[in-house]
Amino acid sequence: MTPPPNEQAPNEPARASTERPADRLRAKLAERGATGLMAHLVAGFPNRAATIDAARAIEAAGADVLELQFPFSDPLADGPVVLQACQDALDAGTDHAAFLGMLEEITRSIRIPTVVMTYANVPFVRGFASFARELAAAGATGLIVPDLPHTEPEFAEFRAALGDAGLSYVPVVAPTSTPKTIAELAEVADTFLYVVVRLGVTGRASTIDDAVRTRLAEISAITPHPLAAGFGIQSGEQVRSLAGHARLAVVGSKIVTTIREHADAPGPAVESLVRSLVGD
Amino acid sequence: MTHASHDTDAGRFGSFGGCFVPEVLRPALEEIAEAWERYGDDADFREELAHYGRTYVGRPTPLFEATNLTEHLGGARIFVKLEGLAHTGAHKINNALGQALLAKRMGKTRVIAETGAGQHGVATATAAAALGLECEVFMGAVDARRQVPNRFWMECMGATVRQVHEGTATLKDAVNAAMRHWTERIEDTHYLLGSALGPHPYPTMVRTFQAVIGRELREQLAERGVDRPHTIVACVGGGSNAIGVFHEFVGDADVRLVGVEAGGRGTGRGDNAVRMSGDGRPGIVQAYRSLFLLDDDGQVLPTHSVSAGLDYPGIGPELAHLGTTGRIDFASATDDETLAAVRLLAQKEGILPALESAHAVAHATKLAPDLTHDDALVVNLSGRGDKDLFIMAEALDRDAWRAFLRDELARMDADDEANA
Repeated sequence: MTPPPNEQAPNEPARASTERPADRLRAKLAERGATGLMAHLVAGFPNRAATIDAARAIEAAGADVLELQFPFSDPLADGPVVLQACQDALDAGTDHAAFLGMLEEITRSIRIPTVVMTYANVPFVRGFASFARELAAAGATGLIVPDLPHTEPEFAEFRAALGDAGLSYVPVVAPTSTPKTIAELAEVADTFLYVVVRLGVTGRASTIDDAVRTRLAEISAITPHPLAAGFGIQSGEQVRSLAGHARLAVVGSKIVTTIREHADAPGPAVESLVRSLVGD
Repeated sequence: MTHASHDTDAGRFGSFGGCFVPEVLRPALEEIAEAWERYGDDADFREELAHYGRTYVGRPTPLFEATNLTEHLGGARIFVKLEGLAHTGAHKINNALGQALLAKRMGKTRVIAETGAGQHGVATATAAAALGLECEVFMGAVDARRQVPNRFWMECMGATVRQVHEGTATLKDAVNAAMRHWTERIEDTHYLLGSALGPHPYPTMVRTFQAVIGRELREQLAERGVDRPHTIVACVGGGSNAIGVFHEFVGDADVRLVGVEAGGRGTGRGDNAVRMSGDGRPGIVQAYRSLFLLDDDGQVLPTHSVSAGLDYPGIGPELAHLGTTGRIDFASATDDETLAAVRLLAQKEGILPALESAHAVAHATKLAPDLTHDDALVVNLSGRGDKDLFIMAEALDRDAWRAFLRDELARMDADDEANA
């Protein structure tokens, strides 16, 4: 079911001579046996040093992918914890240049791939093509934008810009997505799909039960791409209960909360948390 | 990449509009779009809405010729469309009832809404009470503080008011909170959005419910022998009263349409909510593409207005489009000009306009002297001013007002002690 690591996704022109950022992400997912971890950070929360410290701790603890959020003032899909962290990061001066600087330093100092997450207005105002080029130059491998649906005319330009920059596009699948939509999202994906396991926004705990596992199996039957399962995952037990159903578990609010509690030097606390989530 | 199955033009006004919601909400928006397509033109639905309009809202609202103001300013004949005489005191009820009726037909048992000044919240709470729907209203904590009476009335009608502390704690944050809540409860809940903005189909649907204002206006002007107005002026926050009164006349190229934005304290960043005649730039925020007040990175800027209802960084996509093409002109009125306009209209005509609507009055006083008595100048008075007592009294009669509040509190405390 899983494409081999170096297979070109349908939307990307073949560029055999150089490794594209998306290829690194795909290779990393392919080497994963059990359910791995995508750990989420809000860039600049509470400051640059803490973000870089936490990113290093996340790698040291054995996570597979770092998801770095470019804070936006009006984050529609996020719950109170991430929302407040975004506000704090913006208040602390996390602008475009500061974000790119953090991204560059992080991707230079860790080996696991970094996927950027933000809201549509951030790349839209910058210009999709420039934004994608800047992210790729700063070492990102992919982008998640929850409020730029594949059904809007702007999406085509956005998706092409990511392809041109060699970045992966990671679509979000919701509990409300129909099989037809999932197939459409799979068509525009090139590494993995981010599956939201329950209704609502980020933060509130979810139960990983048979219904969730059945849903993941249904989605896997539609797409050959691996799945990341997220929203409300807070324990190693939850991560392990996704075994065989999702290649990655996504943990966000729990990490952000830990950083808030250890704002001065979040490294050790984040490392210990992520270690407990990874389970080895 | 082709997505031939999707109608990419749905809900677009030029490049503005669209439906930029997280995937979890897309089916809910499609459900509303389908219901709207089904019932929007349905004779039975329209008659039900018209029935409530006549027997509950008080439609048609009067068109009053403001002869004293006309004489005072010299120039245009000034007419005032009194939407403030609609039930609940503003045009908001037109849309709230329309959507609440639609929600019932969709089988929803619950409505949620955002509110700034509280007028849309009150209208939604009212429609929900009348139609037997559960109601929850999201209100920025800053707005809840400055619009205590409306918050109180909403709760009185059985609605739950949830204060929103995130972000700037004003209207835009109330919209975000309502949308987030909706993602948890799409099954039984309709999001009763209050202005002609947000994701498709809201801009079209809300404009259609508000277009009754312009239709009545045309008939009422004809009854006074006015074939076409020279100019129509309306205040613009999100812009539902403006597009509601303008829509009927967009095709009449000789009718000048003017939207008035909140000039606030001045032209500094964060001091106003001037998008069209100021620094608005293209963006995708709160699930629609339009013009917004943004910084260079696309972050939404804070806004200020004395009127909570205009204190919003975006504008409805249809107005943004018609403004960009030049069909609608935009101007602004400052807080001070607005307060002066409240006093002027109150003293000359015995009409207390809402602070939002007074922005339109303020601009009309600038336009009228340059026109002639053959020119009809219509001001859409979207709401009445009762709700603004606390703000107006503080601004216009500060010392006496504060003395009253202190004395009233002292009297209540004394009563408590006497009864203890």
